[in-house]
Amino acid sequence: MRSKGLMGVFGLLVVMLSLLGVAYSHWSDTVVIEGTVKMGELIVGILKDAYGTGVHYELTETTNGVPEDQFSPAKPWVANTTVTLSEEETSTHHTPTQTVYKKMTILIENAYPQYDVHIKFKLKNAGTIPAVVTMYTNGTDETDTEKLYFPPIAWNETLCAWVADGPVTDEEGNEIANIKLVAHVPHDCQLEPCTEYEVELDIDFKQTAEECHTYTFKVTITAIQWNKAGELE
Amino acid sequence: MKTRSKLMGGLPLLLIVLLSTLGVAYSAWRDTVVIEGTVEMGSLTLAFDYVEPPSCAEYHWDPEHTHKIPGEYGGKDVGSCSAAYEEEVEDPHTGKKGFKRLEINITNAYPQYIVHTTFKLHNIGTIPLCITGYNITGEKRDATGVKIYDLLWYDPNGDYIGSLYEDVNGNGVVDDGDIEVINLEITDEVGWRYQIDPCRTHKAEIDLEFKQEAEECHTYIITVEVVAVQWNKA
Repeated sequence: MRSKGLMGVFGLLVVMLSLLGVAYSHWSDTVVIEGTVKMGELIVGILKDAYGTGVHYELTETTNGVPEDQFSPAKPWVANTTVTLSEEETSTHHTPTQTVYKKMTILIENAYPQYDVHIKFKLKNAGTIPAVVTMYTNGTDETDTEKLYFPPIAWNETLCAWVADGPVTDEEGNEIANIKLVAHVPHDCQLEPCTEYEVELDIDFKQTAEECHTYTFKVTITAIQWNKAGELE
Repeated sequence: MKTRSKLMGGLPLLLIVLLSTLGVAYSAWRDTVVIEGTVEMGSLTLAFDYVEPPSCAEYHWDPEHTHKIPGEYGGKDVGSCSAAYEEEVEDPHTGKKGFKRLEINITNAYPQYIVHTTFKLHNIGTIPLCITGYNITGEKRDATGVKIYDLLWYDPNGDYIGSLYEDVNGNGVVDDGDIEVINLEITDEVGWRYQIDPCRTHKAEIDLEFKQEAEECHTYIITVEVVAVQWNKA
């Protein structure tokens, strides 16, 4: 009798569970939102091959404003300027790829008064995000351990460029050189992606520059994503 | 007490929220381009040559006064001359040495006694230079060393072949009444204006001939300053 009852209980359980199973399974449907985010990139630098294959910048050395080899008598061997570009970075977002250099090193050896150096290069926003640039210049007279003072940069309506033009002086007010930096960037300093902007740097050494001294200078160009530039100023 | 502890518990949370807000404000995509420049200035140093000393020689005119003959008239040893460089200098850039001063000493000089001095200029700096001229000054002193007159350089052609005059009236200009006492001539093979490139030397000569009007037992001090400028400013 007892065994019959137990069998009945199991049977009832099977029926109940099957009923529950029906209760759980019903028609269902799904909506999925899948996201893929392709981030842009911010790369600003000195454009590679800006003036032809292998020509990344233009360098002219003059004496009293006359190219050294045309000076009479021509003495192109007296002073020498070498420009080196380093810290190469390539944007993968462009076809063909865009390569820029993050660092330009200028070495001027055996300089003398009225020796002039003219360097042209192109600043390029090789990324995909607009960037706003700011420039800061500082320098040192390494021989006397003195700070050098540079002319301020200001917008020039005639040249439609940001221009720093004036004497570089040491702490005693001696004029070391005249420097002219012309950055052909827009008034709002915003560099658009895939756009290049020419920058000219002219250095003309003055009579009051001191013999056997070593002067160093550094121009730092900082680029910030355009929509954060105001906040960070 | 309960209220205070609740407040203390809320503060760190508030700080976290504030800092995270600041974090958003500071962080932005940025990139930097750097132009680094180093300028090494050269040096301009003119000196008398460190290696080859100056030389001094005596001459006298032939009877026709057409050319100079080595030695003193009649083979005698009356006057004497010597030349030496002084004031050693070292170019701080090249480390090369030279001298800033050439001293010519003439003793027991007499009229028509000619002293010919050869010296060598050396560009011990790193920048070419150009000899643009000479500043010639002097003075006449008596036997006790007291200055009597200034000596004035007179060179109407500007070729550094001229004479020194005693400035008798003291007006600083060679004019009537001034006395010609010494003929002075600076010569070299390329003229008085020339360039010397770094590491190069250039030989030049200076001739002094004493005139009849030069006074006995007096001392004439002559200073010749060689003026050089960087070649691109000459």
